[in-house]
Amino acid sequence: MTTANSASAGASTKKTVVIRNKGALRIESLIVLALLVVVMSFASPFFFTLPNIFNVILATSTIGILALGATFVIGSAGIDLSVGSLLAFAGVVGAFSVAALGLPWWVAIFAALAAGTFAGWINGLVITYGHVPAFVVTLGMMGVARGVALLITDGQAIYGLPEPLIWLGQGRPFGIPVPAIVFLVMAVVLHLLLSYTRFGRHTLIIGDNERGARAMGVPVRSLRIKIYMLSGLMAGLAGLLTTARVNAGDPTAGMTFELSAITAAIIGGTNLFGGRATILGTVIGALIMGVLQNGLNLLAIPSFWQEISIGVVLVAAVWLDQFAKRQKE
Amino acid sequence: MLQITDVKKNFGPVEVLRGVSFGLDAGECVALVGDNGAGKSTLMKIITGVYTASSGEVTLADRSITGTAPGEIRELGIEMIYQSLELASQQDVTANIFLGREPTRKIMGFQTGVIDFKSARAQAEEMIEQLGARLPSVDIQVGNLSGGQQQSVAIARALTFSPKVVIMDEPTAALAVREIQHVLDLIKELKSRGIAVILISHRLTDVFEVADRIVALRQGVVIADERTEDTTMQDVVAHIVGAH
Amino acid sequence: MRNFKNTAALAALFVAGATAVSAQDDGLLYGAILKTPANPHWNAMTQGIEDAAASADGVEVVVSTVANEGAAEQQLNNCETMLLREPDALIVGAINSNILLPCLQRASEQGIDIVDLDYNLDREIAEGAGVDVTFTAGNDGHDTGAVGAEFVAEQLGENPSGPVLVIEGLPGNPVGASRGEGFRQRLAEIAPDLEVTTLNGDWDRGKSANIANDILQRNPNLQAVFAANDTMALGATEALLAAGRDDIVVVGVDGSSDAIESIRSGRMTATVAQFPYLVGHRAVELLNQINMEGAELDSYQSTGQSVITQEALEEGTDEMIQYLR
Repeated sequence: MTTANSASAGASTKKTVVIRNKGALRIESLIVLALLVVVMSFASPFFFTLPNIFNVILATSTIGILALGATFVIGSAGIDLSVGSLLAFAGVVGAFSVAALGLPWWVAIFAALAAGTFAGWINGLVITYGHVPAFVVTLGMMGVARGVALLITDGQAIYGLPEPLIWLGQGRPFGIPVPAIVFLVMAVVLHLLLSYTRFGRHTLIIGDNERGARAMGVPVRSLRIKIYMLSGLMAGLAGLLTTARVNAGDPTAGMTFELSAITAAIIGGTNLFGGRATILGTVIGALIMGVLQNGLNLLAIPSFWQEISIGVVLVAAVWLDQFAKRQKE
Repeated sequence: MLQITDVKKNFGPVEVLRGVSFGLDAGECVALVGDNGAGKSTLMKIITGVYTASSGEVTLADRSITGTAPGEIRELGIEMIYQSLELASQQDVTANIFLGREPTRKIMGFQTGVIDFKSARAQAEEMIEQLGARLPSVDIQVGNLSGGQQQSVAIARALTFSPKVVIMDEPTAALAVREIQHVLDLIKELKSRGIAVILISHRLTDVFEVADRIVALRQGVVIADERTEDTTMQDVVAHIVGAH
Repeated sequence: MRNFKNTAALAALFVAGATAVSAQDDGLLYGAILKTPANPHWNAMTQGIEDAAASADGVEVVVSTVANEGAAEQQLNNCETMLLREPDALIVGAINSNILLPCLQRASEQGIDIVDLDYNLDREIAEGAGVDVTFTAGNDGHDTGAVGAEFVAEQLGENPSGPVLVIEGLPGNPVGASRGEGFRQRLAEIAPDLEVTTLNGDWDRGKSANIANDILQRNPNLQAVFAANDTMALGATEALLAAGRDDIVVVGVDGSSDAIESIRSGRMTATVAQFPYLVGHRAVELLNQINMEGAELDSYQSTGQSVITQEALEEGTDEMIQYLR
C-alpha cells in the first residue's frame, strides 16, 4: 500500500472543469468532420458560407433528431427500428388532425408528439413486460406504424397545413431555419439529460450491465420504457418538422431513416452493444452525413456516391475506434 | 439483526429451497457453505430482493422485507458483493460506487435528477482511501482495472452507505494470496464495527478464520448450523458432501 | 416419385378448378398485375381498370398488388398465380423490366395478350426473352419530359438563360431517367442557354427539399425545377418557398391530388398530368376491342397528358381535368 492509495490527494487538485463522459467521445469522428468541411470548402465556393451552414443543419435535422433518440436507445443496449415509420405515422396524425378533423394547429403539434410517444410506450411495454427482443418488437412496430399511416391517409399524402404549422418547418427567424433551431436545442437538452442526470447515467449502465443495474436497485423496466418513449417522442418531433417543412403529411416519408439514425449514432461513437454514448458524438455523426450529402449535391455528384461514402465513413469510424483500442492495449 | 424463516422457493416444478431458516446478529459473521446447486445464491437473491420467496419470511431488525424491491432493500441496509461483481465496465470508479444511489443536486430549492458529481467524486475518493485500495484514479473506467482493483470498487460500493448487513459471494475466489488476506482483514473490521456479514465461500480456511458460525446448506435445506469453535473442517466437508 | 405424383395430382386439381371457374361464364378474364396501392398513381390506375371492366358486359378483372415499390419477387409470384386462372390477358405494371419475364414468356406461349402499363417493360429485353407485348398504354417518359421542357421554356420567356434543376427518381429507374432525358433533350433544342443540373431525389419529398435547398446555395439565380414526379416537385416547392423564392418555376409529373391542391393555391407552378385512371381505363377498353371485335392496334397507345396550371384549373376548359384523381 505504498505507491498506491493514490486516488485521493493528487487527483482532486487538478482540473476544475470536468467534461462528463469525456472518455466516450470519439475524437476520430470530429477529425473526419473537420476534414470533410475543409475538402468541401475547397471543392465548392458555396460550401463554407453561413446560409449553407444553416442549410446543412436544416438538412441534418430530421435524421439528427431521430439519432438523438437512437443514442439513448443504443446506449441502453436496445435498438429501435420503428423510428422511420413513426416519423411518417406522427406526421400523418398531425396533418390529419388539422386537415381532416379541422382541429386547431396547436393540437396537431400535441397529436404528432403524442402519437410518437405512445408508439414508443407500446414498444417499451412489449419489450420489458412481454420479454420480446427489442429488434423484433420495433421491427413489428415499423410495419404497424407504416401500415396505419397508409390506412389513415388511404395512401395519399395529406396536403396543405395552416400557416403556423408551416412556419415550424419553413420559418427562418434571424435567417436560421426553425427545424435547425429545434434540432440544436434538443441536442443541448438531451446532452444534459444523458450526461448530467441519473436518468442518463442509468441509461448507459443498463446498457453496460443490466443484471448488475437491477441488483443495485435501478428500476430497469420503467427506465427502458421511458427510453423507448423518448425515442418515439423524437420520431414524433422529427415527423412534425418534416411534415411542416414539406407542407404535407406523407405516409411514405422516412423510409429507412431508422438505419440512417443508427448510422449517425454509431459514427458518433455510440457503442452498438450499449454502455457508451454521447450526444455530442451523435450530432457530429449526423453532421458528417449531412455535410457529405450537401457537398455532393453542391458538386452535382450522383447520389450513388452519397450512399457509398456514408457506408465507407461508417465502417471506417468503427474500425478506427477498434484500432485505437487495440493500440491502447 | 437478519432473520430468515422457513423460506421456500421453486422455479416451476423445481424446488430449490425447501424451508430455510437461520439468523445472524449485528457484528456476527455467518459463513454459508454448500455444494454447487445447494441453493446458496438463490437464497441470497431472495434476501437482496432480486427474487421473491415462494413462501416464508425475511426480516431485518424485526421488520419484514419479503417482496421488497432491490433498491429499497439496499436503502434498508443490506448490501451484496456479487462474485461477478456486477460493475458497469464502461463507467468510471465513482459512477460504479454510486450506482443506483447517485447523489443529486437541489436546483433553486427543488430536488432534481441532476447528479452532484463533485460530492460523489469526493466521497468516492474518501472511500477508496479508507479501504486502502490501490487505484490510479476514481476517474478511470472500471473495465481498465485489474480484477483485484475491480473487487475493491465493488466492496467500496457496498460499504459507502453504512450497511447493516453485507453479503459476500466468493469474495476471495479470484484473488491472489496477498489480496485474500486483505479481504479477510476487512471482514474482521466490519464485524468490529457491528456490521453483520454473510460469507459464501468454498475456501474453508477463510471460513474458519473469520466466521463465527457456519451454516451448511444441502439440497435446499439447512443441514447444520454450528459455532465455528464447536466444529472442524472435516465435519463441515462432510456436511457439504452429505457423508455423515 | 410418390411425392411427385401427389404434386402433379394437386396441380391437375388446381387447373381443373380454375377451368371450372372460367367455364362457368363465357366472358373475358383479365389479370392485372400491379404495383402497390399505397402509391396514389397505381391506386388511380386500378380504379380505371376496375371501372372499365364494370362498365363492359362479360368482362371480369382480377387485380393483384404488392406490398411496396420494391417487392419484385412478390410480383413474380402474383404473376405465376394469375396464370393458374387462365386469363385472356395480363395487364402488367412491372416493377422492373426483368423480373416478370419468365412468367410473361409462358403467358405469350399460351397466347395470352400482354398489356404493358406506363412503359415499365423494355420492349427490346422483352422480345429477346420471347415475350410478345400486345400494346403499351401510357405516355413515353421522353414525351412527358419534352412537354415539361416546352412549358418551362414558355414560362421563362424569350431566350431564357441561367440554371435549371432536374430531379430524377431512384438511380437506375427508367421512368425517372427517361422523363429527365426527354426534358433535357427538348430544352437543349428550344432554350439552349439554360444550364441543367440533374440529381436523384429518390422519389422522396424530404430528400428533394434538401436538394432544392442545396442547389439554391450554389445557384441563387435558379430559374426552374423539373421533377420526375409530383412528390419530389412538392418537396422542392416547399423548400424554395421557405427560402423566400416564389419566383422559381416548379414542374412535376403525375397530377396527384396534393399537387393539384398546391397548384390551385399558387405554390407549385404546374404538373404534367398523366391521368393514370385513364391509362387503366383505356387498357381495358382496348383489350375489349381486340377480344370482342378483333381489332388490330398499334403497339403503342398514348393515353394523353396535359400540363395543369393554376390558370387551367380556374378556367376548367381542359376537358382532361375531369380525369384527375
